[in-house]
Amino acid sequence: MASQADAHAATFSAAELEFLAEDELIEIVPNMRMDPLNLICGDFGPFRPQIATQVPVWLAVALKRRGKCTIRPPDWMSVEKLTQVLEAERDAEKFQPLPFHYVEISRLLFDHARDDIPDIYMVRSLIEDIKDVRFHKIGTGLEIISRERTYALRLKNLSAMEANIVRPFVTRALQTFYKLSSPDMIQDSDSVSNRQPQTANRGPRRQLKDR
Amino acid sequence: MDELNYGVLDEVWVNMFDFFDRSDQVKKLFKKYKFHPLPCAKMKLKTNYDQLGLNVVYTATEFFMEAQARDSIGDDNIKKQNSLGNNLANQVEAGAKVELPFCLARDLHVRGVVAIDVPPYFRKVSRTRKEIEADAAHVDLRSRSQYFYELGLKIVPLAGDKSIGPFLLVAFQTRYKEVLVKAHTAASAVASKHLTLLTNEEVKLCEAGQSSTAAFKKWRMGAPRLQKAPVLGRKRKPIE
Repeated sequence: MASQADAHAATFSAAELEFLAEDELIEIVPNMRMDPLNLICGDFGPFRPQIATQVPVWLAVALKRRGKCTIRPPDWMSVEKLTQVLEAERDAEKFQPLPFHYVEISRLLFDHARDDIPDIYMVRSLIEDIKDVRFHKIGTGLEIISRERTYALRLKNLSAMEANIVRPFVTRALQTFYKLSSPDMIQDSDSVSNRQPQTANRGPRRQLKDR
Repeated sequence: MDELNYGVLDEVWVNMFDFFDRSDQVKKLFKKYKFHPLPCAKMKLKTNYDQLGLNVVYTATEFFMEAQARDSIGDDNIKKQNSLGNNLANQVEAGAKVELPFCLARDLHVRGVVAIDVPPYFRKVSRTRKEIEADAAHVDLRSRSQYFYELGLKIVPLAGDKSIGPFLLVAFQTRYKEVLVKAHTAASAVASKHLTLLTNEEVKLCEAGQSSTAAFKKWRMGAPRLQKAPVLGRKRKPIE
């Protein structure tokens, strides 16, 4: 899904990632009555006043803009939860589990559902801090690949936007390291050069969407 | 003096000269990139070189890289015959040192006609090596060669110097950390000064990181939600 302008990087643009993030489900409280919506991606509704229901973020934002609902922020977006996550990020070396699209969803909600989020300034600053700590960890992690021969990099619990930002850099760096480390292997014998590199065991592949 | 069998070489040379004579485009290309008038067999041009059976094509990047990397080589039994073409003004004596584009030097080396001398910055005892051992991150590799790493990789099988490989790896490992930091920070003034020290490979790495970071920041500040697709707006030129 790269735009044609930067085909060599093969990344998503940030707007494309946001578009993908809008498929996540979120809870809304409608203030109108509407029959069920039968859409290609699924059926949502019926919508009854003050009865919470789950819809995709794009639908929630569309209804909110028309004044048809209020959006309930997701559980992970409370001050207490985010404070816990921030402390855990600072203490531990690994990445804390966070929703895959937390960056995009939080931005969407800040833009369109400002009045529905309690303590929005606190939440915003906490998310920024979490993002900064994680980026710093990514930087430290990327330094490691220069120390030993790395064929594949595993960053567990990385979010979509963070992965997208480092993707072009990491792929190029890994390619260059691979090219530069192979002449060392080819000392004298051909048997060494014929050996296939073992890719690191990445574990079970991540399900990107729960359908 | 032993006369080597130039059967195949003759054919290749003759074909190349035919091609060179016919094509103005090739001449312009050589003038532009300041090549020696001996043409390189492998190039990617929009001409019908396929007719001459030259079916090995490099990508444009490799071509320019190899053209710019001039090695000094020692000739070892090369003897070009006058009948090969009018463009060849000189005869090259055996044992002479000649500078050629790398693509040519490599092909001649493969045929066993020349021996390749490693460029000074790759030699075991060289200022570059000492500087890299001291502080690799701030060595100006761009002035040595824009294609430092690629050239090194290609020279290793030809020159038989096994120490070049580890040397390149160590250099890149140290410089990579610096590039990593610079790529993901916003300080453009510092980064642009640093870019002048980097080879093409490192510059691409840096730019990849910088562009993705910049795109993210732009999005965060409030990029418009509706974007025109780059495919639109490209009009086909009317066929006249």
